[in-house]
Amino acid sequence: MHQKTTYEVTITNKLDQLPVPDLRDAIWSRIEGELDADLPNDDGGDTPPSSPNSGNLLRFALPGIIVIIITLFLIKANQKQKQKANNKTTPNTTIVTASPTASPPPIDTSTLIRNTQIPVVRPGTNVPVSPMPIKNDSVTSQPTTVVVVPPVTDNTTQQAPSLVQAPPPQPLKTDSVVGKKKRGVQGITDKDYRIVPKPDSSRKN
Amino acid sequence: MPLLEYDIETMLEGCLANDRKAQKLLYEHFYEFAMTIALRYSRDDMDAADIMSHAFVKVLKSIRTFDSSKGSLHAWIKRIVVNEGLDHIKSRSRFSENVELETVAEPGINNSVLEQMGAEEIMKLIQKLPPATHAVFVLYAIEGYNHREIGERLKISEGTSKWHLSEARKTLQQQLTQYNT
Repeated sequence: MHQKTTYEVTITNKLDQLPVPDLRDAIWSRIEGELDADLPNDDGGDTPPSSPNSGNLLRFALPGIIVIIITLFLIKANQKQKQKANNKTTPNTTIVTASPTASPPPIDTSTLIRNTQIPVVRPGTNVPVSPMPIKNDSVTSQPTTVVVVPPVTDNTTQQAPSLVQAPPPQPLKTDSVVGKKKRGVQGITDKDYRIVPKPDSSRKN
Repeated sequence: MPLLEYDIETMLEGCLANDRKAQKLLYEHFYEFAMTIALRYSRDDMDAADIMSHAFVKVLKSIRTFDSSKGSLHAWIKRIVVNEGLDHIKSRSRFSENVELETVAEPGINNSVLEQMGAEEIMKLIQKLPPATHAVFVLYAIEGYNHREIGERLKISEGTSKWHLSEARKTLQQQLTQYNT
C-alpha cells in the first residue's frame, strides 16, 4: 500500500458515493442458472465437498458391488478346484465332482454339463462311441471316460457285476505313423500268393 | 437493515448446505458493496453485471474455503470481486507491455476540478481509459496498491505499472482541463 495523494482521495470518496444500478434480479438469475448447472465445488479448496445424493447412491450400491465381487471370486475358486481335480485323476478316467463348499455359490450348471459328457455304451450295440467335445481350460487334453454298462439279464436276483471301464478310444492323429490305418485284407500273407501246381491225381505211371 | 453477526453465521451455514435462500440472502446483503467495486473495473453497467455474476458464483461455490480467522467476509468477497474485475479487463487486452522506465513523469491532477464533478462523470472518465491503464490506475489510485504489488497481480514489471499510471494521469488531466473550459 502507498500513501494516497489528494486527488486520489477525492476520486475514491466520489466513487464510493456512486449510486449502483439496480440489476439485482437480472444478476441473480444468472448466478442461479450457473449454480443449478454445476454442483457447488470448492474453488481451490483442500477437500472437495461431496453432494448428499452421491453419498446415498454409494451407500446403496456398495453392498451390491461387494456381493458381485465375492460371487466372482468364489466362481473362480471353484473352477480352479475343478482343474486341480482333473489333473490329479488317472489318465484313463476323468471324474468330475462338485466340490462341497460351506456356502454353495451359484454354480454355473451349464458349464458343468458341458464338461462332463460321459457317454454310456451297452455291449452288443453297434453304437459307436465318440468322445464328446470337452471345453477344457488346461493345456493338456484329458481323455473322456466311457462307462460300459453290462446287459440286463432276466435273473433279477443276480447282482449286476461291477462296472468295467473300457480303455478310452485312441485319439485320431492324422500326422502320426503309429496310428496309420492298415490297408488291405487282414490275415493274408505272401504265401497265399504263390502258385503251386497241384499234383494230377489221374496220371498213373 | 444491517445483518447481525449471528445472522451472518446462520447465512453462512445455509450457504455451506447449498440452501438457495441463504445464498440469495448473502448475495442481496453484499450486492451494493460488490457492485461499487465491480463498476471501477467495468466500462458500463453490463460489464459490471458480468463481473458481479462471475464473482458471486465463485463466492458461493467456494464458500467452504472462507476462513474467518484469516480475515473478514467483506475482505474475502472484495478480493474475489477485484480478481474478477481484473480478469474482465485482461480479457479485453493483453498486459504484455514491458516498458522499462527508470524515471517516469508524474503529471499532477487538478483536485479542485475533481471536487466540482459528480461521481458518475468521474467514473465515465476512468472507464474511457485503455484497459491496462484503467486497471493500473484503479489498483493504484483507488485500491491503494503500490507498483510492486500491481506488477505481481497483473504480471507486469514495476516500470510498466509506473508508465501506465503516468499515462492515466496525463489523460485524466487533459479531460479535466476540457471539462473546466
